[in-house]
Amino acid sequence: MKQVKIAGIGIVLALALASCSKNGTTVSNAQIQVGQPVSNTAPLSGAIKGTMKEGLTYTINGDVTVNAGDTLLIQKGVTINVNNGASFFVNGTMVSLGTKDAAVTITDPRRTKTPGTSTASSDSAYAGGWGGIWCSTTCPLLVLKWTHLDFAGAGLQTTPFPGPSVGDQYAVYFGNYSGSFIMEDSWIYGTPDDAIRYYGGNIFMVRNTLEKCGGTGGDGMNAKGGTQGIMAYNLIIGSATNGTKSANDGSTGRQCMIAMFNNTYVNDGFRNTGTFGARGGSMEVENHSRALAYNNLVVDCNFGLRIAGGNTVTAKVYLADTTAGSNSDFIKQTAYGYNYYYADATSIANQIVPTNVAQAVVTHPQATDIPNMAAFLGDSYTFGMQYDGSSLVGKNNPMFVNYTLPNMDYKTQCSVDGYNFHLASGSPAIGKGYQGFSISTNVPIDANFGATAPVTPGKDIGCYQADGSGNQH
Amino acid sequence: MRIPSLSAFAAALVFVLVTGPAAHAAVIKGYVYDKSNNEQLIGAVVALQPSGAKTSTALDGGFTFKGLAGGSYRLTISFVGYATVDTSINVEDGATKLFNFYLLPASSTLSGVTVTSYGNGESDAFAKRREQAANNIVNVISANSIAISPDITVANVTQRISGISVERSSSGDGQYAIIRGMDKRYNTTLINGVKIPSPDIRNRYVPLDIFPADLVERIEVIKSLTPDMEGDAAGGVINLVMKNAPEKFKAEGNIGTGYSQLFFNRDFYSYSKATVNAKSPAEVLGANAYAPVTAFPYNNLVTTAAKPPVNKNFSLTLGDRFLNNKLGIIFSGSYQNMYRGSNSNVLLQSLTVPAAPDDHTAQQPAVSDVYARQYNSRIDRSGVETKIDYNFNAGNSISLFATYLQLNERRVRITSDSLLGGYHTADDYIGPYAIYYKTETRSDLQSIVNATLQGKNTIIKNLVTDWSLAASEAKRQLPDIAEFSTGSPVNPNTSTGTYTVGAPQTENESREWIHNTDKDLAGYLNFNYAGNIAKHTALFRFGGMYRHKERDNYDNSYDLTPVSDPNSVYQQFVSIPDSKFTFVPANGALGNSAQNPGIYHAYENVAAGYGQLKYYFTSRFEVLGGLRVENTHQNYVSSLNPALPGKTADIRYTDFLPSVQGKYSFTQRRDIRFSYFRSIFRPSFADLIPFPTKSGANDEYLTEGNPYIKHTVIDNFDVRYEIFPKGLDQFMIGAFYKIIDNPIEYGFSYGNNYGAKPILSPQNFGTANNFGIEVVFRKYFGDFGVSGNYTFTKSVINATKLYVYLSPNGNTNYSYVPDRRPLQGQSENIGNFSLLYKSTKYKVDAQLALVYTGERIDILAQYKGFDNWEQPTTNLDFSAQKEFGKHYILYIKANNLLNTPFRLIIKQHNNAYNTTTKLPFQESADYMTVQYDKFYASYLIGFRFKF
Repeated sequence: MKQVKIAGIGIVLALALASCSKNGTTVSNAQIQVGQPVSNTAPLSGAIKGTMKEGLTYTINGDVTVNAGDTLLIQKGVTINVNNGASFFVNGTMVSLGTKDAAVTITDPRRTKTPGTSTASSDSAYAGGWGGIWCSTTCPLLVLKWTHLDFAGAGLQTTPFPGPSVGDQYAVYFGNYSGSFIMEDSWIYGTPDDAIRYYGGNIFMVRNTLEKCGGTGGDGMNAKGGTQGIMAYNLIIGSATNGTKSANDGSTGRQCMIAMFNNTYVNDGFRNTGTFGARGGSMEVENHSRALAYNNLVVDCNFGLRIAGGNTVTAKVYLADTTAGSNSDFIKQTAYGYNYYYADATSIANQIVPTNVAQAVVTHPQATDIPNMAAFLGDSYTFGMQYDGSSLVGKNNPMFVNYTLPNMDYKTQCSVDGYNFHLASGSPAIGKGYQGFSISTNVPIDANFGATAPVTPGKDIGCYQADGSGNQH
Repeated sequence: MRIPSLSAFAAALVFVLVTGPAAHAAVIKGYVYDKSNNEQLIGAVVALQPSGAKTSTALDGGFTFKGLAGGSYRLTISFVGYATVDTSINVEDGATKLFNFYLLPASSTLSGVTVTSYGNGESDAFAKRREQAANNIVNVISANSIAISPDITVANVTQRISGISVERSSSGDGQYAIIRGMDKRYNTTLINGVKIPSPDIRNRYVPLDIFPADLVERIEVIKSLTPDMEGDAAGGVINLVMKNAPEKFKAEGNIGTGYSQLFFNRDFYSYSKATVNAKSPAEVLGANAYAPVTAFPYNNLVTTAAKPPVNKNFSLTLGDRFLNNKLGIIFSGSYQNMYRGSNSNVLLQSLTVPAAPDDHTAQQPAVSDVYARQYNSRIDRSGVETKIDYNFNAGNSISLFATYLQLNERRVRITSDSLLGGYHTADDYIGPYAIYYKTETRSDLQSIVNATLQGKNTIIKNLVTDWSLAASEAKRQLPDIAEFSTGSPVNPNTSTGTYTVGAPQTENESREWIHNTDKDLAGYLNFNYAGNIAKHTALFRFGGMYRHKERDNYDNSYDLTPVSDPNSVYQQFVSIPDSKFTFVPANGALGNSAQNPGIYHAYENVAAGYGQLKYYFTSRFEVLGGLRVENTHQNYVSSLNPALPGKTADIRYTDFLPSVQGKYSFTQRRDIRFSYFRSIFRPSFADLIPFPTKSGANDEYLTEGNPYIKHTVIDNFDVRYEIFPKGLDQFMIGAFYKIIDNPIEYGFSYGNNYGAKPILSPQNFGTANNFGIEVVFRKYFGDFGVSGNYTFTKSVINATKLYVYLSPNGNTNYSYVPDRRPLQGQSENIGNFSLLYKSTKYKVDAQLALVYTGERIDILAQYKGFDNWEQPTTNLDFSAQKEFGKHYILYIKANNLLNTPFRLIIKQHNNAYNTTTKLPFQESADYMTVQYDKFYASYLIGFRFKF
């Protein structure tokens, strides 16, 4: 009976949502197929190519490899159950084309989602299920649209190609400097370490939801040397460390440059044991990378935007690149502002502008931020020095549709569950977005083999826009 | 002048040269020479009857009896390997008489490099003659030299040979030889001329510290190859000639004890070896079973600190000949039990460093951690060998040699790791933001067993064959390399410049099991024919060899994660037994053995044939030349994921290796040699197999093989001028030049690997050139002597390195710029200098030995100018011995008297030397010291006996 009730409520909600959605025309894309259909009559392992057909359920029992030059296409509504911690090794092209109505799901059938309180030791979401998607230096394209990657990060049992190490445990690893990685309207739920690790490539990470990423360390989206692109309109909740991060580690060809805008970060940065909780907890720019960080909504995260400083000699993490480059660069110069912070504890408020807990910080307090940290800290403030933020606790409630603030479960509420992080009408975050910057799209624009459309800065702070644009989840 | 009468059987010639001025008492003086080559003989026993006085000849071959009454004396002069002289002489009161005695060798002759099966091959004089008579360029160090040297392992002995430097292990003992600047990989080790497999997990060469010096008769370093030698040595061949049966009963032994200065200063950490699991859980439970956490007992991680027991050193050799001297048997055993260690400081280099501000400024290195480490090693080194030889007749003999060597190291490494914060507060606090305390215990168990059957047969007159059949097995086991860690947060205290260290939390624990077995089967067959061409002697030699070698390797590692305390993301550290672990992700309980390329089977077949001719153009000019053909077939099958390249490989190649060696003698004591030969280097199995591991020599980076690598071909040119003035005096000067095609060195692989973890892999670096000059001298003045050698080596490799800089418009540029550098491990200057004292009167030998090794590249860095250079070292060792009666010798040895540190530097401006950011153990603003290890002196005292 209970299930019927829930289903009933769901239908009512869906109707309600459908009725209040914007007017317009939606034309379905042509259902495309590459190569031969992949059969679902027997569990899969080994080389794989062709098309996984709409609505079918597949089982994978051992690592599958998309060889260089081959393409694996997953049509909408496909469910893939991956057993034995198996991984996708992608040396060719992989395209997963779920739709809003018929998402693709790749999961470990042993695991189920647990709402509510989540800790690293109690929640199996952090234990790793299936192995994840590993894209080598020869993978030209990875596209994930409306795709659930649930319970990935089993830990590599073997090194699939130069780069990753045995034991690495991500949902997606992307390793091609000249490749493109597009992830739109998708979900990642539960990883032991970073949800996504990028070692190069042009990336387009837009309108996704990340939940429970990182067991006792790990970020949501962690871009390393050679990665350039966009992380925008994402909702990242309950990440062990940062939600989004740029660092130029290991670069041998080009600089890491990431535009992080209109993301919503909730309850991030409270499960990092690696350096005693001192590695950030929303956005981080470090190690000679450049970034833009605008219009982000940061609620009850352990740290605000951290622009790493350092003396460049005696640090594990050193200076972000804050110098001015040329106009042809993907990002000409690191810039940030119009970020919106809400804190439910003094310890959180004390790190809206992060202080020198573990590393030097050169975040300039911004007058455009909410609250206005430049005014709050005053002209005499020295980077990295501690301050008393207790008067900021509970101020500037962004007014979510269904997530009551204050909420003292910020360390353990790590998934969206039934909450709704859209901005309620009257939210002080509405209309505060900065649209005066532009960012180019460095990936192909294509309904199937690229980004659906370029993305522009939002009027409102955070990933959900009052006009219904932005994150669609 | 009168000529004394000679005994009938001793065909010795004695000349009275001088009759000295009158004195109160008579004096008999003299020198003893080898009749065949007019060399002075040292240590010959001279006995005078009826006075009963006895002495032995000094370093210049001389002896003196003073205070004699005038009259008739009987003088006997005996020396192992020579016919005894027995003669009568008259001396008048107050007169001094000087005699020269010429002894005839009893049996040993030298023809080419063939050495008769017995004779005193342990003497310095023999060693020198071996050098002089050899076809090729050889340096020899004798058992006598070893006995009186400060060294107790073969590795430490070899560094006293010209052109050789050694690479040291974490306990400070020499481990691998670098010959003429050619990395250890280019040198081979032979036992009695036969190649033996290495127990080392990554390398073909054998760690020389596995050999106790007591078992060795002599060490030959062969620097030019003749066609009858295997062609895979470019730097040189170290041939360990093990002890041979003596010509009469011999019993020798040695008991010693010692201590390391280090453990006067601090405690020694140890763990119980009984608690180590020999096999990984995957081997016990099956590869697909999830190992329970209880399969990883904590017991072998529990260490105790205490003063170590004294070091112990025993050896015993027994030998005799039977059946009319036809059958010779020798048996040697040796056991060493030592406690060694070092204190090490390391700055962990960041793999990513900031860009240079412009295109004409060097990048600056960056470091993330400071390690302070204490190494503690209990080393048990034991060896037994036996050799049985039987001489059917003058032309036919057979011998069986068998040896078993074992080196067990049980090591505890204590690490304090300070993670650097890289910030400073207004009160100038510079320091860590976390401190980790790590305990690693590891057992490294190595053994080699070898049996070699060798024979020499005369088929027809002038046609002689010699042959060898050898079977060997080398094993290495690293059961449970275990590391336990705790971490503490660090909080700076405002305005005091100090910091508070928080309570320790349990961190991840790692466990790894590695083992491998190498098996070798080899046969060698050579024919020698002595003939004439145009009335000049011509020695033909031809033959071949075949070797089958195979290796099985296993590797499996686990990473355990601490279970968080309730309501915490940490586990408060209580004790090692109380720490609780789990696997995250759960499949970590499988270890990494599935599709681990470190689990492999490999084999290598080498077949070779050669022909050579040694021709005497005149009595002064001889040339040896010929051609060798070697065919190599290598194959491996690893457990790597079959979807990936490099799971298996099959590699075949054939090399044609010409060689010409010439010698022109100006006089009997002065000659010039020249040689040209082509040699190769075969990559070892681990060089080929794409198995990323940290078990290599480099602890900081992963190292993996490269199946696409090409074998190295080297053209070698040598010239050497030698003078052998008298006695043991010697002077040699030589020059060499090597053209190295496809040299193999470990560098960072980049190009298609953009990961944040650079991987070291073997790569070919175009063509390298290596040239050098060598000088060797030895000179004795009565009881004193000096000996030394100096080698200058210059090598050049042109490669590229990464250079990252900012252009004026702020763009970051990644460029690969030319990098001209010497070969890895090659020092431009290497020198040895020894002061020797030998008093026949007081029966005292003493030696002060100094080894200088110039700077050399230890680690090749990814970035331009970041190579890690080992700073020059000067090691000073001392040894002395005194003989009591005929049979007993008391000796002392003291090593590393200067406490010479091992230092690695990066030759860039050192920002870590600035006053506000100064890191520990930094020495200069001009370079960054990234490693600073101290080993401290060690002392050994003991006595030897011989009957």
